[in-house]
Amino acid sequence: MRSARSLSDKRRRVILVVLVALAQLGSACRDNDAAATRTATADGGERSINVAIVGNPQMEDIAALTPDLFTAHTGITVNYTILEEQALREIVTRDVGARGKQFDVVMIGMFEAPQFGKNGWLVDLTPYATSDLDYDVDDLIPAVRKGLSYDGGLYASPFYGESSFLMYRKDLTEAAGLAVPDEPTWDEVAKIARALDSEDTAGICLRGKPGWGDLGSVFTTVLHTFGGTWWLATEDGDIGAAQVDQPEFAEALNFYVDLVNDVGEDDAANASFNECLNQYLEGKVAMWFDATVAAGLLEADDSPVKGLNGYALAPTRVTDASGWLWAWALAIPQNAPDKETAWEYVSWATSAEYIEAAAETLPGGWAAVPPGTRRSTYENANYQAAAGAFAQKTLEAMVAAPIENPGKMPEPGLGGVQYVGVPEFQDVATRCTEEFSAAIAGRESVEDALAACQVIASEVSN
Amino acid sequence: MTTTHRERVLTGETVWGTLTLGLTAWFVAAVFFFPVFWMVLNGFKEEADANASPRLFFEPTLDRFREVTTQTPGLLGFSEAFLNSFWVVAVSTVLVLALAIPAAYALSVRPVRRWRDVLFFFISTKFLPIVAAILPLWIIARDLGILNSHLVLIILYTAMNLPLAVWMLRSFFSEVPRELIEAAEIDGTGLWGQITQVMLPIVTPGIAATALLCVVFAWNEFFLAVQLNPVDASTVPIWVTSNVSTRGNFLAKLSAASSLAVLPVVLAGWLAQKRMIRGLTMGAIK
Repeated sequence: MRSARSLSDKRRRVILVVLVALAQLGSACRDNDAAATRTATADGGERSINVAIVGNPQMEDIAALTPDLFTAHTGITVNYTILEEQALREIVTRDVGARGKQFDVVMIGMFEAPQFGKNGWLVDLTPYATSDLDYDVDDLIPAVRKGLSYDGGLYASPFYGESSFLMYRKDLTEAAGLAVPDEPTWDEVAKIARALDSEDTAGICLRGKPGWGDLGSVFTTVLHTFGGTWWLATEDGDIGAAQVDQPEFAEALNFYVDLVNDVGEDDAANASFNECLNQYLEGKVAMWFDATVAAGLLEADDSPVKGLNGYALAPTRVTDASGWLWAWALAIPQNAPDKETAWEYVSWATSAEYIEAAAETLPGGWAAVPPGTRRSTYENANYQAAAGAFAQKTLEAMVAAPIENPGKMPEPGLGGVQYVGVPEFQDVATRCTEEFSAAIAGRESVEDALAACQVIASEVSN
Repeated sequence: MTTTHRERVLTGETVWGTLTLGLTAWFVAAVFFFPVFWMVLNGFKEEADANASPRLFFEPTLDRFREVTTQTPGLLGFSEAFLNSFWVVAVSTVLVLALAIPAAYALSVRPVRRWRDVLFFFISTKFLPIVAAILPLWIIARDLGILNSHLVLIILYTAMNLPLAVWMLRSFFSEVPRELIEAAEIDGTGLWGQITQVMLPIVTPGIAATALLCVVFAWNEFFLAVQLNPVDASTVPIWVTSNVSTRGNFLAKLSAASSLAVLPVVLAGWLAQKRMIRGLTMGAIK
């Protein structure tokens, strides 16, 4: 009985110590919070804005730099909400669409920007951008600016941009006596991948994880360059007949599944960007087709494959170019209470001035700045030195991205390479890629996956 | 206190049977515990190690824990999220108990008319998937001006846990011998006295078990929190997911955050372990 009681007492003491430690930590952090708030108000500003952003290294950097680089000069306190990508989409869509007034500035992707702009949910930033000389709207990469615009109006200001290209281990291709063309075709890439495939190293890594932004984005890019599409467009640009049962779609999916099954990465049905990144870093794959931002991680100082990589434009089949275009951008909801303050923040966060200040402040220097938004970044000698291995190829890929006419057939909605610019695409592609992923895993035949997807895609046809 | 062979035979036990059951129990426990163990282990790794092929030996570091607890002004921090969760969970659990105890009393000791229907009604509120109700909930919260506040989560977590608490407490209350209540009545004890002086001391383990389950469910709840409360009063699950990155590795960082997030629940469970087991098994014997 005594031992039971002493055990219980001991347990209570341990818990007490842990709770006190947590409370101490908590109060220390609260003090920091309070100090930060005081600093902001002492500088003369009482304005504050709520900003929703996606979890991403560059976004986390700006959140950390905002107090010193923005709040200290403007007196505007910025409260960030970092959300996981899917949660951000749901919450922001509802907030701007149903007038939630939760956020003054929201981060949205290139998929949403023109659609939200068309719906009248966002403030047209064009008057702000053209009259704000510090912002320098003409410095934006034209393709990115166009992708974030609707009917000539800019509805979101790009914070971070990317295209897609082929990354490969130059040391392995050279050892095998193979040369990867600068503008390869998918047939050439498949041939090289099959030649490089070995017991230890897979030939290529392609996403296989279900999701419209996972397998959906890489596969749709491949589909477009194979001449296929998800839907035809009706005369007024709406969703027409589903095209999943067409030969081009079947050819693209068969090619994709065969390539991944023959020489793809381990556990391909669960692989997306991060899984491919890790397998590439570990030397388990020889090639990888994905977002250009990956190159910065492959060439980072702590990367085991630094300096061993080559880069080529996105492989093509029947189209001239195939690299996708994506940007995370800051937008102001129509119902934001103080649009001037919101623009002041957007203008700073997406300016060339921020990129330079971030390069001077961040431990990673120029290699860590948000890429893919401004021409001046790529013209900067320091950035060229830090990102020399991939900077030029990234810019080329972004400029070449065929966002207005990604395939061979007119598509419904607004332009996009790795997606179709209609809201229905998210649900249809997510459900269809579950079928495609099952085909990659060998649980379902490609024919069955195509048949199931044709039914899904037809549900939204007009 | 060792069991003799004769006693084991009498209770139908065999050495092999006991061994098999014991090994099965250990195996199941290991299967359940392994992911938690791996999560904690990953929290002490560098991102490269956490995302590489699994290996047992690595150089442990506290850097990930430092990273996730470093406070950046303007960003939801560890302490703020914990404090928000603490208030929401504590108040909602107290409210649940305050409402569930009288309800359980009315459904067990002095059953109201059609008490079975009432009990079914309580549990039927859990039939609708919460995702189907989220938009109306959001609109109501928006119109009431309680989006992004502790209040919205306190109301919803109370509603979420109340049916469970009523069902659990009702089964505990049914265990209390009627004779005790009748004796108290004869002694002139009123309703309040019967509940507080007779019932509650007996069902304390059951109340503790119920409270702990309410705490666990409310502490871990993510869907309502992220949909209705992502800005000012965000709770621990939102803080944990804010460590997820769309580009680049985050497994070690996320594991460190998750390890810290489960700590209060593990401590609460450890503290209440003895009472909780007694409480959870109380209603099982009829």
